Amino acid sequence: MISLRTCPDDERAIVEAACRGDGQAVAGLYERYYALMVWVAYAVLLDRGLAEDAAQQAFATACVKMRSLRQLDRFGPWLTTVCRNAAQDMARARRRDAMLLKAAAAEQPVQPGSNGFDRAVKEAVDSLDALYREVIVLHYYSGLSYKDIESALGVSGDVVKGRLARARRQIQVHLEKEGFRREQ
Amino acid sequence: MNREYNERDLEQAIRRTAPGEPPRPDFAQWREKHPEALRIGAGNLGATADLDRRIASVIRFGRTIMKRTRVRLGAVAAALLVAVIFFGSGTDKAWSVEQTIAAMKKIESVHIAGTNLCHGKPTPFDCWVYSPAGGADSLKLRYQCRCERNGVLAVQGGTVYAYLPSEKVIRIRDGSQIEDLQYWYEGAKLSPWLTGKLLETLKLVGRAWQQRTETDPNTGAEQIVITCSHPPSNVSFLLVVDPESKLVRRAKLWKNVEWQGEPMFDARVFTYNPDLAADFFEIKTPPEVIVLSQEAEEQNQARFDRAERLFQEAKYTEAQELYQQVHDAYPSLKIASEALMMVGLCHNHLGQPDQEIEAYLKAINGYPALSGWHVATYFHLGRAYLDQGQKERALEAFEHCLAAGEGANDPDQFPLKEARESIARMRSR
Repeated sequence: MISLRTCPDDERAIVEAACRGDGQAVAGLYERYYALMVWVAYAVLLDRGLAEDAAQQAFATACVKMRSLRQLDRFGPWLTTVCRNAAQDMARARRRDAMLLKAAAAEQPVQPGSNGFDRAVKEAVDSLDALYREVIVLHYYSGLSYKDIESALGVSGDVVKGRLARARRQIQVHLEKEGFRREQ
Repeated sequence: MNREYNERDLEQAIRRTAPGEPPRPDFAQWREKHPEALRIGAGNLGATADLDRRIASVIRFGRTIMKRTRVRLGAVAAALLVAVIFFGSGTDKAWSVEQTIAAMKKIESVHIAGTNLCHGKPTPFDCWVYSPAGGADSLKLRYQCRCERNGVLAVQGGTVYAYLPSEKVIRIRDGSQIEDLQYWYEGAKLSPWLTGKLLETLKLVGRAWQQRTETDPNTGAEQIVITCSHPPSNVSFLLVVDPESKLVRRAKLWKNVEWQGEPMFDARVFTYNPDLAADFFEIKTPPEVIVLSQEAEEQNQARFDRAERLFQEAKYTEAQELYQQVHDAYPSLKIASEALMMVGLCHNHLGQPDQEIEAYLKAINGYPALSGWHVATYFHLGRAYLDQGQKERALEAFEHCLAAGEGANDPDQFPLKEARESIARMRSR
């Protein structure tokens, strides 16, 4: 996995080059941030295909809007915001399908031997507020460390830890309602 | 059945719920799909110097206003600001700065009129600026775009008022809270207006300065024509200066560095120190127009967001009530039309087709000047009619949906593709 923690100067130089129209730099940013964008969009849309569409659209938007970015060393957080907004626009436009998406998600095959635990966990994750789902998705699906999430979202470590803790608590509450108890 | 779990079980289960393989970027495919993005992006930035960013910020001012108040007003006002700054730069920098600044010292206010690109179409505008002594407090500005929305933007010191007749609302914003306004105020602080530091900045960063003397074909008078560009902001200018007064008489700004295509704005009338009534820069609240503070609008938006969450949680009765409250709080706002559409969707989920259709019709007919959500609402209306077996009405609604969505960037975006498919299915039967 590509770490999002880069030297600020390195990041800044790449973004500057991209802004000058350096195709290689643009490609570099795309490669570096694509997975992150997909997961950020997924946290909003709960649909992998749509999330990929949103990520691609967001990067195109970001290219057009790059000139409005004043703090070049905060490209990552800015890009995730652009991506989140693109996903939210898409979600709002497609909200008619929201329940269908949830239904489809609920119909995902359950892992053998999981006692429906995976399904309950999936439901719990999907029912989280997008703010909390985002950190869960970035940490567990994308495999980002706390530090990487800090860099990606442009928030402090305490915020990341707080959101993850609250997300886990909400998941546990949901699991308890489903009859799953945490070992003491 | 073991229904106990530990932290490790939970973490593993969360990981197992990840959908599919890790995302794999394919830049070549993306580039093929979005050639426009690369073309537009190339050369647009590269602004490493803060000086360059000041200019970009001024241009961005308009977009910020537009985004926050949903009025497309500020972009052109800001562009005007940049252009007027450049007007002073002249042909020979030393000459123009000295002489034009000297001439501008006698100017307290100016009225600029011409056309600007609004939604891609050249549209008449008027802009008045009053800045007698310098300082953000004394700045007054009134900008009016003559497009169908006919919005008015008024700046009085630190407060921005945005009047949008189509929504019957005047939004009040604290200018200092709008980050991108900072350079606007910085410019206004200088005396005379729009000269000084900002002009000095432009002296440093402007490119491709050229000057020629021409004869005005209409008046036969001599005039100085200046062209210059600012590559980091991707803009180019043409200015016509009166050799006698040293003041700018005409200006054009292009959103490219080649002076090509339709200018972003074309200012044809400059009236310096016009007679303006004392209350000219005030927006008088017309009957039935609401004055909305940022706080009140944010509260309404928060209510809407709560309704959205309830909808996502399938709590349609509660969501419907909240959407209705959003609509009732400020029924003229665009968000009210969206809330009505959502009321319709809630009724759909609650199995109340008559109320559903009624809500969609209200959302469409009650907001003829607000077309933002008409595309989706027409689609849902068509679907609702179809569910009721009213095929002719459904067909009509789907066709309205396509008509309302004409010119969309992506012709396959929701719900245009779905509407086309529905029409095709209905006609094939």
